[in-house]
Parts: sequence; C-alpha cells; structure tokens
Amino acid sequence: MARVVYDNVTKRFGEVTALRDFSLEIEDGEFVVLVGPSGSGKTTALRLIAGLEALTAGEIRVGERVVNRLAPRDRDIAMVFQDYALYPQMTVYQNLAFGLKMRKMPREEIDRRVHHTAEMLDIGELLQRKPRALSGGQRQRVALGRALVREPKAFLMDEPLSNLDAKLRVQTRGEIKHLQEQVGTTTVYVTHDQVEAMTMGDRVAVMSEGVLEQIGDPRTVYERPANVFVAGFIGSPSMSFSTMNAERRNGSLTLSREGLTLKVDERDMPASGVPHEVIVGVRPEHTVLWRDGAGLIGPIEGRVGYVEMLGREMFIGVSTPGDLRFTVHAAPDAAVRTGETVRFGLEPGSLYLFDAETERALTRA
Amino acid sequence: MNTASRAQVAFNYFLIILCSAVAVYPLVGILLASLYPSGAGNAPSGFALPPTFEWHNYVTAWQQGGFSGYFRTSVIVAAVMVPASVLLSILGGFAFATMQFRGSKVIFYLFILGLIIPTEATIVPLYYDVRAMGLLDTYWALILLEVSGEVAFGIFWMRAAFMSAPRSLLEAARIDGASSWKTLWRILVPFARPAILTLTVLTFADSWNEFFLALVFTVNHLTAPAGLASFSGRYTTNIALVSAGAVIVALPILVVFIIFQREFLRGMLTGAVKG
Amino acid sequence: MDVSSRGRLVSRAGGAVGSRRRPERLPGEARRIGYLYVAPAFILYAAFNLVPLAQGVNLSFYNWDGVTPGIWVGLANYQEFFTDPAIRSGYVHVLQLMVFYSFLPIVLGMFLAVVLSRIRIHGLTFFRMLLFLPLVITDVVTAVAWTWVYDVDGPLNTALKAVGLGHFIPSQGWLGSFNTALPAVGVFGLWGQFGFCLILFLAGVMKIPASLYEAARVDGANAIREFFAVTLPGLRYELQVVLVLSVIGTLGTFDEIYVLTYGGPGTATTVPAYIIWRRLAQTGQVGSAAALGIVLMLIVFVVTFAINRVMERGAGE
Repeated sequence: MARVVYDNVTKRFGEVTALRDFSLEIEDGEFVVLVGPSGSGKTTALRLIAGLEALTAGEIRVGERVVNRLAPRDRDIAMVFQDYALYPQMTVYQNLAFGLKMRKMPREEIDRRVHHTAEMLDIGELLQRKPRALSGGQRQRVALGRALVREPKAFLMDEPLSNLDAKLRVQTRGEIKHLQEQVGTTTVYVTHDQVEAMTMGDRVAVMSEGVLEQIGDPRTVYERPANVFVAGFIGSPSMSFSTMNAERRNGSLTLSREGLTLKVDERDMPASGVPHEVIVGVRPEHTVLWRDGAGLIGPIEGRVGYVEMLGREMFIGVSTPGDLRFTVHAAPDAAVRTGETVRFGLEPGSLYLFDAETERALTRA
Repeated sequence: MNTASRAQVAFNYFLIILCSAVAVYPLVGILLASLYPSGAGNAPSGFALPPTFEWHNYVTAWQQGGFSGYFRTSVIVAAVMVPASVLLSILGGFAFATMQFRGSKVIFYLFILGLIIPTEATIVPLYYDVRAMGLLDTYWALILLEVSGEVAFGIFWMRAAFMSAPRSLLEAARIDGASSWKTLWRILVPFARPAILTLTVLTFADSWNEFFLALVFTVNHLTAPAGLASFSGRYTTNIALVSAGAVIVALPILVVFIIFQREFLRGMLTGAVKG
Repeated sequence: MDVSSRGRLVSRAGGAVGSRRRPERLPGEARRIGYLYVAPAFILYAAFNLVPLAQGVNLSFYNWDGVTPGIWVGLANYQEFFTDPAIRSGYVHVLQLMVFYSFLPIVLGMFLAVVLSRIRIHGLTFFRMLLFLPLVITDVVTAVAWTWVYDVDGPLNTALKAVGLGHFIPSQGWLGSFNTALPAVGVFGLWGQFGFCLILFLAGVMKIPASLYEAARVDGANAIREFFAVTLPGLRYELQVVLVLSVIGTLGTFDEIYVLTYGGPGTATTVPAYIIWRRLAQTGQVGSAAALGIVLMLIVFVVTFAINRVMERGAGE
C-alpha cells in the first residue's frame, strides 16, 4: 500500500511561510500533479516528501508510515530532478545502479533491474556512455530510469520536462504517463505548466502562495473552479474576468458596470444569496462574435486591442468603453483588425460568478 | 583597435618577447654558467657560451655538495606532506561545503584567520615547541608544520570547489542512499578533480620551495632550498658549481610546472582574480 | 618570490566569506559528523598555528635568551619598536622595497597589459609560462641566479663595461655597497613580480567588454581618458588582489635577503622577518623576536583591512 498523505503540513523558512496547513491524500497508484506559479509552494511540498527539507508542523505519511524524521534514503521514494542531477563522472549504467549499490543489492539483481529499466526506456545502447555524451532527451530518460530502477513506493518529479524543447516535451509527456500506468507507482508531479497538469494528472492540485486552492480531476478543476485563482490559472488563453455590480430584480439577476448590462441566464444563477459586487468570468471559447438570433448574452461592443492567429483558431483581445477586458474566440478567417470595433456575445450557461471580496465561486443552483 | 598596422603587431611581439627574455635570462644564465669549468674566479660573463660543457659539475655538486641528502629530505617531506594536506583539505572542505553543524562558522573563520597569520608570528614559539617534542631536525617537524600551514588555504579552496557542485547532485545522492563518505568519494571528488589537481600541484610547489622553515628547524636534514643556500655559502666563489646546484634544485619544480602549467595558472590566477 | 598560498587569499579573506543558503537541520542527518571531517585538519592547525600564536604573545612579554629562565618585562619588547633603530630600519627597508616589489610591477604590468591587449598574441601560453617562471622557481634558486648576475664579472657588469658605463660599478659590488644593496634586492623583486602582474592584468583587461571602450570613444575620449575611465576601473579587482598580495608578501621577505646579502652590508638590507630570525636563532633575543612577530602580524591585518576597505569603497557598488 503506497498512499502518500500530507496531514496539515506547514513549512516555514525563517519569516516566510512556504506551505500553510497543507492537507492532501494521494491514493496508491495515483498520478497527482501539483501545479501553480513560482512561489506557490509546490516544489517545497514535493521536497518535504523526499526529506530534502524538514517540515515545521504536521505529518507526512508514505504508505502508512510517518516519515517526518526519516532520512531520504529510508523513505523508499525516488526523485526525478529538473536538471536531472546525473552523476557526471559515471556511466549511464553506473548512474542507474548507484542507488541499488548503496542499498547493498546483489550484483545480479542490480544488473537485471538496470537492463530491464534501460529496455523500458529505450536507452539500452547508452549504458556505457557518460552524461555529457547524451542529448537532453536522453539525459531525461536516464533520470527517469534512475527512479524506476529503485522500484520505490512513490515517484517524485520536479518539473522534469521544463528543460526540454517544446516538441520533445509533448512527446515525453505521453511517455511518462504511459510508463507510470505500466508500473503503477504512486506519483507526485510538480509543474508550473497547466497544460502538463491537465493532460497528465489523474487529479490536479492547484496551489498558490503556499495554499492548496483546489484538488480535483482535470475536468472538475476546469469546469468547476473553486475560486478566481483556479479559474484564471487553468485554461489557456485564460478566462476573462470583469468586476460588476449585481442586482436581483424580479427573480432575475442583472449585472452592470460602466454602461454595460448583462442579464444572467437561469442556468448561471447562483443557488444562494448574491453579493452586491461579483467577479464575472467567462472562457474565451464561450465568448464569440455576435450573431443575431443565437441566444447569446449581449451584444457587447468593444475595441480590438490585439489579434492572435493560431492557424486553427483566432483569439481577439477586446476592451469595452468601460475598460472591461474580454478574450473572444473566432474562426481563423474572421475579418477583424486591431483598432476596429467588434460586437460579441457570451454563451448562456457559461458564466462563472465569484464573490468579489472572497473570490470564491458562487455555487450554481 | 581591430585594424592594427604591421608595425604595431611587430612591436607588440617584440615587447612580449623582450619581457619573456628578461624573465628567463637569469635562469638560462645559471644553466649555462653551471657548465663552465668549476673553480674560483671563473665567473661567466653571461654573454658567451661555455668553452666546454662540464656536465660533471652536476655530479660533483650532487655528491660533494650533499644534494643527494637534500633531495632525499625534500622528497620525503613532500611525499608525506602533499597527500596529507590535500586529504585533510578535502575532508574539511567537504564538511564546510555540505554540512551544517554548530559552530561551523566560527571554526571556518578561524581557518580564514590562518590565511593571514604570517609564519613570522608563530615561528618563535614553534621552535621551542618542536624542540620540546624532540622533533627538531626531523622530517616530521617540516611535515607537520607545512601541513598545518597549508590546510587553511586547502580547506578554503576545496570548500569553494565543492560548493560549485549543483545542489541537486548532492540531493540525488542522498535519496539514492549514499552516506556522506560515499557521497564525498564517489561523487564530489570525481566532480572536483581539476580543483584537487590544482591544489596538489600548488601544495607541492609550496613544499618544495619552502626555505624559512627548513632553515629554522633543520640542521642536518636540510631540504633542497636550504641545502642550496648552505652550498652557496660554502662555495661562494665557485660560480659554476653553485649554479649546478641551483639548477639541480630548480629542476623538479620546473618539470612539474611545465607539465601542470594550466593548473598552476588556474590556481594562481583564479585564486586571485575570480570572486 | 614564492607561490605563497597564504598571500593568494589574503585579499579575499578581508572580504566576503561567501555563503549560500544554509539548510536547517535535515531529517535523518547525523548531526555530529561534520566535526569528524573537520577534526584532523583543525587539530593540526590549532596545535601548530593557534596555540603557538597564543604562546608567541606570551613570550613577547619576556626577555629570554632561550637557555636561562626568562625575565618578565611587560611591554618593553614592544616599546623597542619605537626606540630600537635596528627595528625601525627593517621596516623602512621593506617600505622602500615595496616600491620595487609592489608599485613598479603594478604600474609596469598595467601599462604593458594595456599596450599588449590591443593585438591578439599567438602562443600566449608559451609566453605566460616564461613570465611565470620567476615566481614559480624556488626563491633560493632565483636569488642564487641573481648573485651571479650581480657578480663582479657577471653579466650586469660585463654589459655596463661594454657600453662604457663601467665607472658606475660600485667598488664593493652591487650587493656589497651601502647605497646599492637595497635597490639591487629591489630590482630582483621587480623582476620576480613583474611577470605575474603583467599576466594578471592582461587577463583582466581581456575581460573588459569592448562595448565600454566603444562607448568611451563615441563620447570622444582619447587613449589616456580611456585608460582612466574604462581600463582602470575595470581592473579594480585585480588591482586590489595584487596590492594585497605584493604588500603582504614584501612585509614577509626573507629568502632572498638571506641568500643575497645576509641583511648587509652592515644592516643596509635588514627586513623584519630577517631580524626576527636573527634574534631567534643567533642573538638569543627570543622575547623580542616573538614580539616582532606579533607586531608584523598586526601590521599585516591592518594593511589587508585598509587596502580592502579603500578598494571596496572606491568601487562604490
């Protein structure tokens, strides 16, 4: 049984609190991604499992064993570092074998495991080479191999893909996920890239400034963000936010700001009370150029600030006279130019409402 | 600056050749002088080749001058002192670079102090201490004193070298289960090989060139430099013979320097230049 | 000039000790083990450096001939610093030597480095090797070489006679005449230090980005202005290092004095280290020698500190 559990973990570095009351239960065999901007505490959280830092308060359990006081070598975990940390003077074989040698494993067993892992990662021909003779992608695999060969209770990965070029990154993403499914080891994966998080994680833990903002599977985190931060962090291009005044009238909800008035659809109505000021969020894919009779909320008029042509689609950055910003999704052949005025609307049922003060999501009816 | 005239280039080469020649001249001079016929009053003028090449001056100096004995001392002292000093520096530098223990800062500053304390400040009490230990005029006196003098620099140097290793390398080793000893010898030392080589070469040079200590603490077991000084004093007027002795003493360090030029330069310039 | 390891880092000892973020107590880490690694070096170091230092301070308060029991004299040995002309002249001599060992090599080295840096020099490695030789070869050897150079029938005199300047040759020889002995030692020092300064400054000048010079030229600076505005500030660090190294090194001059002049003629070339040796090993003034050693150390401290302070303040960063 190899669950990894954070139980109210706090970590302070002097005056700075890097991790605050962090609680998370990772199931056996699960692939959990800790994602967030720099300073969010995700790397700290990972290093606490590894034992590379000592926690200030709380407990960490690996496979039902409290590991707070244990040295990294006794925690039965393996780690893949961002810069790979391969031993430069050793061959690939020796790099892979090192951890096993330190544990006094018999030579035949080491040999068997190293070759098996090398085969899994397709680095069999590289075994006699030294790290400096390897490409970035190859080094990354050796780093992975070093963790695999140990057959630990949990894999810890610290942004292993960030030093690869974009194309290699996408390819390796899939390979890592596939490997993990094959091997079935619990994995905690840290990244700042939300695309990585969404494509790889069984569950995604969104973190910000030492706090766990939301934990859930990718779909939930995307479709039901718990607060403004998660809503804005997940999804690219990110959600457009506008602070507006809310008014309940005759059972319907009207949002207004600087001359712009939106009537909120039933589907978007919050279940309980609505504060006076709300933050309205809408994703670009639900913000489209105005078509009469399409049942859109609007029309909203604004000036085009920029146009992003992505080949398959186009994103238009618009600002209203009241200085509200929106990102509008359009077909690649849309005739829109910077400086022009466009009219667009919001798809009903796609609005997210957040309390302007607490920034928490207002739950739907 | 980019388009230099031929004259400028020629002038530059002339300058540097001139400077190098001046630097080397006295040494080349005594090399030639050593080949002159031995005996008083035969001072080579420095601008003419010797009439005959009296190679046997070297044999004379070696045997009569007692250089075989001087060399034995220098070699024995260096052979023990250099590995010991480098080893202790590696151990100490490793601890300061990777470990946290109470008072480490204080101890480290004490070592730094050693970099500034001149030998002259401790030589007087040291003489009587060594005498009291019964180690006067022994190899051990020189070995112990030289090692204790070198470790301050050595620890500083190795600490810097180890600290330049990426932190993740050490962390990977910890996770892999390596003890501190294994981490040091299997990972950090291979990583810092160039720095260790430089330290070894510099330490050897310091040991071989050490004169003051030998003069104070030895009488019958003189090192090569001290032996040369004594020899020079005994045969002042026999320039050829004294020169032969000087060349003999210069040879080992010269050879080491030529082979390990890069390390020497790195050690002397980086230690001085890089922050 | 020995490859003094101590001198090499004295310049940095005054400055930052360079720390990186220290981890707190890590889980599972044996806390005491650091002591074990440091112990061998520290024990040796303490036994032969720190303890003797304390002993030296103690000794300095006594009048002792090394044989009979010593007599407590308090600060008398230190007062000699002001009263004994022999001690004073020792320091005057090193001050004079500093012109040759420190000032001249720096000026010459810097000037030549600037001139030479303009052209790419092929085979620089070879020249570097030659220029470093005086510093790397044992001092005693190079000093012996220079006794030959200064010899009555040696190359210097031969050359002077050849160009008709033979009447300048002093009657007692260069190293034996009161007026020329110290400068003669000085020239030896200049010869030894110069190569190092040249190479060091050359490397330093190469590091100055060309864009700075271009900017200066656009601003209308001529060669001299360029030097003071760009080159000199760019060499600040090297200058600081060489200053400390050479000044401290000169304060501790011994080997060449012993070989070239024995402090003579008379006391024309005595230096503090030599005086200390004589008082310890020959004249039985052990307490005085100890005191002189302590004073020398204090002077080294002060000088290092002062140079670092001045240079760093000048940097103003």
